[in-house]
Order: sequence, then structure tokens, then C-alpha cells
Amino acid sequence: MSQTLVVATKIKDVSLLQKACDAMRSRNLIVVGPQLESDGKQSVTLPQWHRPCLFSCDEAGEVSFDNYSDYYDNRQIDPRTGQRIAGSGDVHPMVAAGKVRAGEGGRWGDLAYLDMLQNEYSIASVMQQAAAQGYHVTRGDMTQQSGLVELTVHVPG
Amino acid sequence: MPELKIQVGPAGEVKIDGVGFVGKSCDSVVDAFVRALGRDPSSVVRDYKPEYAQLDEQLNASGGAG
Repeated sequence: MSQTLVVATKIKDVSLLQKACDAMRSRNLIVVGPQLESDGKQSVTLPQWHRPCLFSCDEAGEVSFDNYSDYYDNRQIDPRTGQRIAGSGDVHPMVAAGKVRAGEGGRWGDLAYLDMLQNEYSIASVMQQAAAQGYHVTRGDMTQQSGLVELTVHVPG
Repeated sequence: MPELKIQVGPAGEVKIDGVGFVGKSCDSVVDAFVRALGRDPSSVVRDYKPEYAQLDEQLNASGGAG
């Protein structure tokens, strides 16, 4: 069977979060963490961010942060689908309309670095799963224009 | 050899494309990667390729199973 699907990654695994932070540091970016906080969450301070992002690293795989953005979204997340639940909290009209992302234009932190962390986490997840199954992986270079990283997992027939 | 073509986007979103699989063998391989990415495989929308339907018809016609 051949199929195509799209997955929005959730950050649930501390060791993979650590790998993602290490990958960013290998690009000479200053990243602090992950560090275990008293509430059980893992904190990561991204480059040029004033405050750390907090990762639940549990089944919910949630990330919370305050980057002093005008665009908020306090709606709860459906743990199964990962989608926001309509009517479960306040949301900026522009975010609700899908015109901007929550946290966009933050004065205390650029979402691009959070995206980069998510990108590295996804890559680490794929590499770890492939290694666990004994699959060989070929990694292509990042496409500069699209920012896509292509991984080919060779599965024994 | 079957392959998974995986594209990781700039914000960590992942597109998985199964290529060259026979029958339903692709499901278990892909689902393991979906779980590794922290998602429930049953909550993910899949786009089955036309050749899958064709292959299924062939298997059904010959009494085979995928």
C-alpha cells in the first residue's frame, strides 16, 4: 500500500527534546535547557527569548510560552487530535480566523526559533524510530527556499 | 525496496509518503513513525494513492490478501 499523510509533531520525549536542543547548539545558537522545573515541565530558553518555553513532555505534548505577543490563543487542545477546541477559551480574532499564528510578532521571542526546535525534534524522532527498527536512513540537505529536510527511510521488503 | 519519503517542514510538521509497499504492510510501518512523532495514528488523515486501489483490486481478483 502506498499512502501520504501529514503529521503535526508533539513534543513528548525529554531525550529527543535534548537532541533537538543539541542540534540547535551545533548551529552555534545559544539554547539553555532542557531543565526540569518544579512543576514537572521541561524549560528551554531559545535564542533571544526573554523567558523559557515550557514543555509538558507528557501525553499531551503541550508547549506554553509568553513571548509578549498581541496574538493569544487560550483555547484548550484536544489531546487526541491536537486541535484547539472551539469555545474552550479566549482567542484573538485574527488567530481564530487563521490569519496569524498565536505568538506571532512576539517582542520577547521569535517564533522562528521555536519552529526550528520543532523541526529538529521531528528529525530526531524519525531518526530514532528508524534506528529502533533497524532501517537505514538517507538525509538530504535542507532546501534553502522551502526549509524542508528530506529523509528517506529504506524498509526491507 | 519499499521506502518512506519523509519531509520535515520548517516548523516541524511532517509529511510521510510510503512508496513501493505491497498490500497493507505500509500501515504498520507508517503508524510506528506517526506514534514516534507523538500522534495517534487513528487521528491522522491519510491520502491513499491510486495504485493502492488498483493493487487491491488485483489482489481481490486473484484471491490474494494484502
